Amino acid sequence: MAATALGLDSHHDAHAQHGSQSWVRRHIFSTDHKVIGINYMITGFVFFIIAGLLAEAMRLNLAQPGSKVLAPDVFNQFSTVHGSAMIFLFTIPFLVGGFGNYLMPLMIGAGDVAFPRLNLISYLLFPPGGIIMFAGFLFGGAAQAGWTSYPPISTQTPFGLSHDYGQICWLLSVIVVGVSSTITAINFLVTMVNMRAPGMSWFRLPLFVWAMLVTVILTLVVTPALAGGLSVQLMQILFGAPFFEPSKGGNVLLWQHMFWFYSHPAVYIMILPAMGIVSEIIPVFSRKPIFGYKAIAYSTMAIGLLAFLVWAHHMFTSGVQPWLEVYFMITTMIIAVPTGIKVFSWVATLFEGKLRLDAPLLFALGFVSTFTLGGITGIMLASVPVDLHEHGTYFLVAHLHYVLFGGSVFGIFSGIYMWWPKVTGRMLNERLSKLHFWCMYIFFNTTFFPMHIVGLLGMPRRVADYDPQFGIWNLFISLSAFVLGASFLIFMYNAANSLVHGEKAPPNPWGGRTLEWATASPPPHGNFATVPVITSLPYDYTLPAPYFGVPDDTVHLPASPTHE
Amino acid sequence: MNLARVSAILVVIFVVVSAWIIVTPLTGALPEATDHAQSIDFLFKFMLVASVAVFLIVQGFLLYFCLHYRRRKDEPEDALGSDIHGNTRLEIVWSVIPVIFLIVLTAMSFKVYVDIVAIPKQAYIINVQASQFQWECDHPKYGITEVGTCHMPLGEVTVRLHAHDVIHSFWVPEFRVKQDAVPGYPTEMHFKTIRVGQYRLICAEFCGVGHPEMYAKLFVMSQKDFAAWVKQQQQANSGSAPTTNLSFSKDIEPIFTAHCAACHIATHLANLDLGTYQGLLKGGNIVSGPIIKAGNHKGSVLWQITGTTGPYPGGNRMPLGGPYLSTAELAKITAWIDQGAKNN
Repeated sequence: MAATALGLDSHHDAHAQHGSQSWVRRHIFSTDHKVIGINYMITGFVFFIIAGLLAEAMRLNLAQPGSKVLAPDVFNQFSTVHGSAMIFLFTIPFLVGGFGNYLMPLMIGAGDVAFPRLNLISYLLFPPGGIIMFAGFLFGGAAQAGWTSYPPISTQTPFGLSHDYGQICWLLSVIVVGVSSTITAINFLVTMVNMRAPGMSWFRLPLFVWAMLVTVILTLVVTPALAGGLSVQLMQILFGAPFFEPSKGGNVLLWQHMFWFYSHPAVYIMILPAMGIVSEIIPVFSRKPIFGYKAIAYSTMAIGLLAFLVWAHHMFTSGVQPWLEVYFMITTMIIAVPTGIKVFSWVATLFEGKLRLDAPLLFALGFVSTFTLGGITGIMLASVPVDLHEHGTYFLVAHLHYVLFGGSVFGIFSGIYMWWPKVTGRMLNERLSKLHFWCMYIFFNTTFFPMHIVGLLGMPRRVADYDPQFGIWNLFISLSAFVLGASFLIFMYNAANSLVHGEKAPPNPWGGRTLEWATASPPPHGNFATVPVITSLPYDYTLPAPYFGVPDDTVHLPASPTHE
Repeated sequence: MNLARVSAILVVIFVVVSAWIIVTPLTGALPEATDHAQSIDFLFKFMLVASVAVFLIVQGFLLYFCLHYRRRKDEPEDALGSDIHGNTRLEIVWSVIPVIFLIVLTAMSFKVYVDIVAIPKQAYIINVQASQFQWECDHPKYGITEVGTCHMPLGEVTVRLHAHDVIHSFWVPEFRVKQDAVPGYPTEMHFKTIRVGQYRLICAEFCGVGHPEMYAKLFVMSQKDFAAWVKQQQQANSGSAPTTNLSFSKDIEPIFTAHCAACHIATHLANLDLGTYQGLLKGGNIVSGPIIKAGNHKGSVLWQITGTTGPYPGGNRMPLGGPYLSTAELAKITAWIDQGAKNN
């Protein structure tokens, strides 16, 4: 929103006609994909902070057994809104709406997305959608049925309330945000198919764009299923439509199928772009080509395809037919193969590199490290018999956070540190960035690793109180969680400091070879003065620049000596 | 250090950690109380050993490469790494080995799972009624009902699960298996208990404000002890069964005073007054009309809204949020209504 406050002074200088418009017009109602991308990121980050504070409040309550910091219904509201906001209002919008909007058109050499005004609409739907979710707190209490919102608990009026306004808010919010991401998906798909620079064949796409392509296809296919489920649940609450009401011929498991048909692919919507970011960062900072470009691109497609076929592995204890559970166990096991290929390829890329261990690479390697553990526990959960013990426990909480925090959030922060100079035109303090990484990496692991153990020992998830035998574990987890939360203050200070006092960033501070580094930092409206022509993959460091047609004064390749 | 030496170190660590995993009994922390627990623990240990291998390969090489291939201070800023684009043979190896491992794992899981879902020929049947926020266990063979506790003998047991309001999940960590109780969709689980002891029956599916408190004491008993328990229960039941004529003032009003007073006597929530007999006939404004139908307990709102089976007029089981009426109290209400719901 406040792009000027972010130090984007040069933004309108480069585009005189654009500069005559009002501040609001340029920074909130702008159709420039970069402004929209920044707005998505700022809005998403605000929701991230709020949802993170909700998590800290829950950890405060869980620090000791029998504590009454939060009333049980408030705890349930916090856990529901924490999960929903982190997923629907932070991770997906930040990765797809934020990074996707900002980077994808730049990386394919386009001036903007295919439908800039549609893009603006999809952003403008996002903040109201988020506010509606939190608005539940004003109407007697936010949704308290968990982010999965299983009926009948979600269609039941909570104890002590006369109406279920919180749940209605939740449903409306997710519908609005879902419409927003569907619009974005159509827009991106058209852009990637039609607006690639001349010479950019499919197998010359940067891996981040590959990830974005598969992500938007997933979004397009599955989001309508969720929208259908949400609408039907809304009809049941508002008008008594009996879709999930067994006494009137409905079926409660129907929701679980509709929900997970969206929400499992949503995990890949949240992890594929992060994998794309990591695939961009590792070669740049290793100063060598990505290992197995085609293998990574094909595994992205394979994950995208398999994502549709695994949803009921969330329902192994729900009473699904046994033969169906075996089918979903097999498909889920298969998905480990392309995921493994990616992880091994990233590690192999480091081999014989000249690694510059700067913050973006540290976060990217943090992603590889923690995501691998999340992937391993994912295989454990895929085995039906083992899942029968681990499902619904803190083991699952640990697995989920290793994938979505250790994976997506580390990916997001590696991307923030990577493209901060490009987006703001200023450098971050490297020392503070590294401090942030080490605090986040260490305390992430001390927070979430013990959760595996308490889960296996018998602590169920989504509880405001627990058996006193887990007290010491939970105290340790809570203390770690507070430090983990505080580590983001380092980032916020670093970011604010950079915007005010930061060193001016050159166009290509890291020596990247994708197209966004071939234009100014920040890029002008319209991105490129002339249309670039692509001649090869962006990962061959020994070759000359993989494109021509870009004015020389913005090209600093293969590696810029301005680093540090 | 070269790759071979790093690999050798990782293999040594792997062997040591795996040996430790294999010899350490999980039962020390969490006993195995069913036959499934043993097979699931074996599967879990097998996966844990394999996971250690994957974990060490990825983390070990990640760390080694970071330290070994980092750009040194004396090297130029724009120094390049080797121009390696891939290695088809290596890529095939790290695709095929996981495939083989996953096939083995799936086959092992399948074998265990077939055993878990197999229906035993003869099993002791328990009907479990799950509701917000209590476990009720019915023993159809002996006509015994217990709330907040669950007794079962050693040997094959079939648990039939019924949910009355929302989804709950039957979980005893020592059993290593759980099964959701789904409204309108009876589910079953089968296991063979092999260890006598007292355990916690936990609800593992989020079910509302009382979810953390929804647990019951579960006892696995030897056949002899179980028979003794059954006998004791049957004697106790025959003593308290309401055979005599019940009185509103002596039998029913105390129930209202104990469980309903805060909302329906001290204040008249939903416009309902349970302080007087006339209040019952007047009813409330959420569910209108008398809440008792003389001689017909199933048609009486009072019975429906407090009972274990529902339906719950107005949406929620009473008393709101529990604890609900005991089996004996519900039996009194049933008998009093059937005897004519008199104001005596």
